[in-house]
Amino acid sequence: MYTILSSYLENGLQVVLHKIPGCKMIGSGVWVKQGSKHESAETSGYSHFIEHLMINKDNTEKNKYQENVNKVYKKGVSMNAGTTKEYTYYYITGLADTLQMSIETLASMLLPSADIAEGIFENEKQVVTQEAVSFYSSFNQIRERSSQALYGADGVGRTIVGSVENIREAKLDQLQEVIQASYNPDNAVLVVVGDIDYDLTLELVYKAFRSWKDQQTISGQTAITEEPGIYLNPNESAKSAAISFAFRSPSYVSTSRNAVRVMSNIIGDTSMQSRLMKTIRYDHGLAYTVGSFVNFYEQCGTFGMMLVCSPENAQRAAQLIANEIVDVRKNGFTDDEIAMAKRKLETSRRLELSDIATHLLFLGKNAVYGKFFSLEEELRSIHRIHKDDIHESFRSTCTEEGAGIAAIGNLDIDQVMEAFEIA
Amino acid sequence: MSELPCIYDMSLINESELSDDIVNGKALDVLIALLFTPKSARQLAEELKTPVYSIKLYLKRLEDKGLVEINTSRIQEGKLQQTYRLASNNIDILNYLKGENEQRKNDVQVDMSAKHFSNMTHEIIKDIKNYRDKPYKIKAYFIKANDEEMKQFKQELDELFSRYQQLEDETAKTTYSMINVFAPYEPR
Repeated sequence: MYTILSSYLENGLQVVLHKIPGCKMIGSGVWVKQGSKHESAETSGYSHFIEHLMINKDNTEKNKYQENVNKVYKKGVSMNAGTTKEYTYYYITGLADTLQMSIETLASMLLPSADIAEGIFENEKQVVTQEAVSFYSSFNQIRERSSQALYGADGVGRTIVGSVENIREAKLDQLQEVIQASYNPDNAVLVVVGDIDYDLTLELVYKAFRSWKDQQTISGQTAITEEPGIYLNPNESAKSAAISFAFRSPSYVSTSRNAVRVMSNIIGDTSMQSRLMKTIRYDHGLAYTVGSFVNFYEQCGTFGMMLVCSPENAQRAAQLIANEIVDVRKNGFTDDEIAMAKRKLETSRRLELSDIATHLLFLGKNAVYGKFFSLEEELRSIHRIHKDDIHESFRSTCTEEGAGIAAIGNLDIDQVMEAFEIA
Repeated sequence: MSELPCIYDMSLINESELSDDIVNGKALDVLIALLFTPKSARQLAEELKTPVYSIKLYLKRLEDKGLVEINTSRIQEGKLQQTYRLASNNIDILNYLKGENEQRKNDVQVDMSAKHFSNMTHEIIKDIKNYRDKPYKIKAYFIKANDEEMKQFKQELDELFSRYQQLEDETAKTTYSMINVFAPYEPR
């Protein structure tokens, strides 16, 4: 039997606890529902910038946090943070005896959240700017550009690192405004996993977080576009092109999420004999980097097929990818393909079961979406995926109406669009 | 080492070197489809049997050339809904019927002259954005009518055309065009 306990403190903070009997590790973290989808054109990039400022251990405005960080690091913990389109999270993993100090460290980081020293602000601005410039100079951005093509410049279409110009021009008080509006207990979830005692852990959380001031959250969520479209930034000076053929797919909370994962593995997993690897790379030699990907959000998702190729190969690659889509819609996947992809997904999930951080991140993401699934339940869901579910997911996802294209670098987009015939 | 120059621009479609001759093929179809009424990208995609992502690219190109603009923009149930219209109110076809401007394929002479008219019309519409401060009008209307009354109307049209010709001033700087097609029509 697996148990997950969900509680609320008086200030509105949701607390999710998951006991893993016999586990020697403890993981604890806080998820704040503030990501790039809550930003506007003027605040694009702020959520990620705030994450850098918040976790910075040199913040002289938070003496208690500095003291706690030094204490937990001496105990060998790992501390990290991340920003997504829908939330920002901060977490600590360590041996079982670090539970109390980890929770206290998280509390001292977030209470009061907007106290940030001017010195680290200017320093982190340089760091975050450099991170953004690196991202926008790399073909890795093609995945996020796919979501832009499908959902537009706002909502989940907005890139996580955001506008370089905004970051460069940002003032500390502008970021503090966003913190005041979103870093509130009723807009956050605290998660603890490990071999914990529920009552004792709740008591620790209560003591550390009860003083987090309950104030109104101002949500900045923006709209996605009615229909999918295109992201295009051609550049003749680039030696290659990155192209993604993407489709609006089911959301994270959809029951067909894992069926979409399986079909994505069959189509373009890079570590197995996937359809795209075989066709694009091995049979025709059109690209080295080729594969598929999925991104699931609270209310929608992205399934994409991408490649990086020379300009002269783009049209042929688009045609071959279209042919694969048409073929799968008509003939489906083979039983061997499905069995292999399911097994691979199950294997990766079983490996994750031994990682406390993955448990924590999985639970945190689900809690943000109002779901209480454990990683153990995920295995059960994968196991029962039926062949028909996968085919239905593919046919309902890979349609011309739900398609978008993202393309950057050196290419002729008109030729690519003409070649990508999937009607 | 970076793989491409950093993309600072935050717009979805950024074709900095857009060809002057974008009003052809599907883009011209989009322009014609908007002559009758403003439409969403989805409506245009269904009407022209073209993927909606392609339509959005053509719309952006036409917007960049000043030929099309956003008509309405509203958010409903968390989704941004937009319709598009021609940028000028002086382009209106009152009774545009899809497919009726195709020419007879087995009549080479008719086909050639239709292509000529088509190309000229194409060029004129494409350049309208450069002459917004000058008078222009594009109209079409299909009716069922009595032959005798049409004969009478043709005489009036001839007179109007004659009056137009009399306005010729060889010292003027601007050249005006008036392309007129008035004839019985059989939908195929």
